[in-house]
Amino acid sequence: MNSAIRTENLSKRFRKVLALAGLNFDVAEGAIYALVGPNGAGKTTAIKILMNIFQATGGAARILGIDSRKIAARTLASIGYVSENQELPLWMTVAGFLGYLRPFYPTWDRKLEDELIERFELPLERKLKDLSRGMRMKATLAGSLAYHPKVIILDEPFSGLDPLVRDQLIEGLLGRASESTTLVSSHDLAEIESFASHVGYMEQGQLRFSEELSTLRERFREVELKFEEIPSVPEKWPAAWMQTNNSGSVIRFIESQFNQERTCAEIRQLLGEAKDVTFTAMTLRSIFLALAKSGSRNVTEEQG
Amino acid sequence: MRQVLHIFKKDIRHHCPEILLSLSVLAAYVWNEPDQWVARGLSENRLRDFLSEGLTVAVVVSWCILVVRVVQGENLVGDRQFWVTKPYDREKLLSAKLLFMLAFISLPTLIAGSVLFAEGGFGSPLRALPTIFSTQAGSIAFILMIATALATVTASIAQFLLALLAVGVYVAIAATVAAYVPSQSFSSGSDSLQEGILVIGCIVAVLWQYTGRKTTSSRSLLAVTAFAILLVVVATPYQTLVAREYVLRPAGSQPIQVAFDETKPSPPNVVRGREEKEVEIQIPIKVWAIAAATSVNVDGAMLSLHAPDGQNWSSGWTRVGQHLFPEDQAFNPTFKVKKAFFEHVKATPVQAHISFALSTFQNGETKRIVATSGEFKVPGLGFCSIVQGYATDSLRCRYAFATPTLLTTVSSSEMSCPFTADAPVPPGLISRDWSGSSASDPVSPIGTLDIYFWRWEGSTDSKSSPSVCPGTSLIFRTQEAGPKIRKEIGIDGIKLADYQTSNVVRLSFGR
Repeated sequence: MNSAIRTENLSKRFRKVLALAGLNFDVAEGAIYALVGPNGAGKTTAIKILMNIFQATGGAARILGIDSRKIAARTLASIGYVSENQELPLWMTVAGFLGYLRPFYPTWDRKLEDELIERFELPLERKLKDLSRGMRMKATLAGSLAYHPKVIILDEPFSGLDPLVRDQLIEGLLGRASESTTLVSSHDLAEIESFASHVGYMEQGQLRFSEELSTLRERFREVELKFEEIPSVPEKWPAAWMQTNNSGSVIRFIESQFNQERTCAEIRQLLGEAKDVTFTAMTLRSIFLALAKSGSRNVTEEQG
Repeated sequence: MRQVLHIFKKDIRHHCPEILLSLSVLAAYVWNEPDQWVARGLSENRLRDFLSEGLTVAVVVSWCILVVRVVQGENLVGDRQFWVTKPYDREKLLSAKLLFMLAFISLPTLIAGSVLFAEGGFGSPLRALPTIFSTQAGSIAFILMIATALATVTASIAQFLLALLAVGVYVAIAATVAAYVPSQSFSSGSDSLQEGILVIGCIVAVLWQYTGRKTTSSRSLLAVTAFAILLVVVATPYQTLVAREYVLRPAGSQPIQVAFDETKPSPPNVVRGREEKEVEIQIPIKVWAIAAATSVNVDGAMLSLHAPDGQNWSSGWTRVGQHLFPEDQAFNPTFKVKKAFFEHVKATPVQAHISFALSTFQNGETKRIVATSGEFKVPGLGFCSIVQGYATDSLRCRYAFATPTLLTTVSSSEMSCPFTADAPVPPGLISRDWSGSSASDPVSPIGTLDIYFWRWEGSTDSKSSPSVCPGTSLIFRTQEAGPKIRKEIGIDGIKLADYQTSNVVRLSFGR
């Protein structure tokens, strides 16, 4: 599959601070890619380089096959960009805002615009400055979806929004997902879990891993083993077992390469027959917490 | 073009208040301007001039506000602007901003200029439109260029004002530095180079910002531009440029002769004033051989002193501004000598060398006009009216476009004012005023010229001064510029103490 977005060894330095340190990631066409990570991980910097707002210190970024440094009006007409901290023309009304954007986009769809206005319940005659944060975000998203963008880039779009508005935005996005590639950055894992198809985890300016969300979920399980007697534990646990914890006859760990048959065989081989084995599926949040606690370096090596 | 007009229309909607403010200030200027053409008492004239200058400043300030607001409507500084992620064509964005300035600054100013031209009585402005435009274009473009350059590298009005403050500090520093550069204040030889550097710096900074938003580079470029201008100010060989502009001519073809007046001046009445770092000396110069129907303006002079012990001092070229006529026989240029050097050599005969930069003029067209009460027309110049003053009368004249170089004469024989018994005026005396070109206003094509008749030439009677009344005959002579020449005088064994004027009062008499 072709890449809609791709970065190669991307780096960015702000004076003494290295914000990006050789970032590599790919977003396949049609994917909804969630770039997650803690605040300060470099997600926004990466997105701003992709949008040619920042110049990279090194490496390259491509969007729709075009070097981000050469992005011009024609390419921007195919990209929808929404950011939590964008400075909007607050003096405009919602209708004025959408009306102002319209002529910039040859593919602007009035019917879709009307649909989005209705879906987001946008008050057309109110000025952007008088809107709530959520309503303003919806107006911005409507202005970024109404022209059928090939790529939608959202930088922390949901932070600080109430759940209802968040769901409306996600619904709006999903409505256009079939025709676009979406890159969304967030530090809130719960919100992207419901709609992302791929996820990349960034930390300290680097991508720790990148994976399809479904396989990630499949791969991770919380495992609880109960034994009749206290088992003898090995000196070294398998590399795929994380946060191993034994308290008497109960052993808990997180399996990062879950395959029921293989995992059960491994347990039998190492610890003997367990009285009770429980495999619990994990939320994305739990997976990332586990990764963060265990130190992601090992995991990256495993993925590699 | 559609995108240009789309952004332009948005800017009109957004910046309506600023547009209205700018147009209102311009309207106030147009409303007020004719008022200062009218002759009133001297003090009232000054008040009117002050108001007019205030409104000119207000017009420029309103332009700056408009430029900053419209340029920063699509802010080029920062990383959060909504518009940078939208398909704006940068060239079209810049074109839209320029169109806005053209529509709401240049065009209204052209209309204002045309209204004033018609109001001034100079006929239909339609035929003069290209000239009105060309007289305004330079100064408007200059103001807008600087304002635009600063607006593109700043993120808000507050930042713009800080940048303006920095420019003000820079200008003050540059002026201080320039004051220490010999001959800098006299020669304008490097002005066009400085302007060129400024224009290129500003244009490149604006283009960089609009094409690539290279704020740091653009700011650095403007700083480098300012530094380069300062470097030009300091490094220009002003004396060479003056020597090139004012040429030495062979002795036979000199339009004026000058020599040091060796008559020892009367001893000064010494009155100690406050101590200064410089001592003023006045060198008496004899002049002769100014041809009839010509005059000479002493634009500048340079005094070089060589002490017997090898110490040297030079004033550099300094402005003089004295105008000499065929019947003049002397003039006394003053120089400020560094006090330490003066004290060192004041009692010792030193060698002096004086260079004069002279502009020659020939009388052109002569018009004899009888002054009337109210306004009277002076063909080729414009309109004049009499200003009654306390000490002396003057004329306030208005002209279109460039100030004419003019010699105006009034004769005591043709003066119609009643004499007072204690101040009779002997017949046959004349009073003259010579006025040269001056800078034009960025808005109004109409300028005013004040012509003063200070004293009767050749008269030692301080009681009577020239007056102009309805019925007084006035002679207006246009002055055609002739060659610019340089004269050099060498003086051996001059004692500076004999010529000191500062800190002392020297009794002196007229020509």
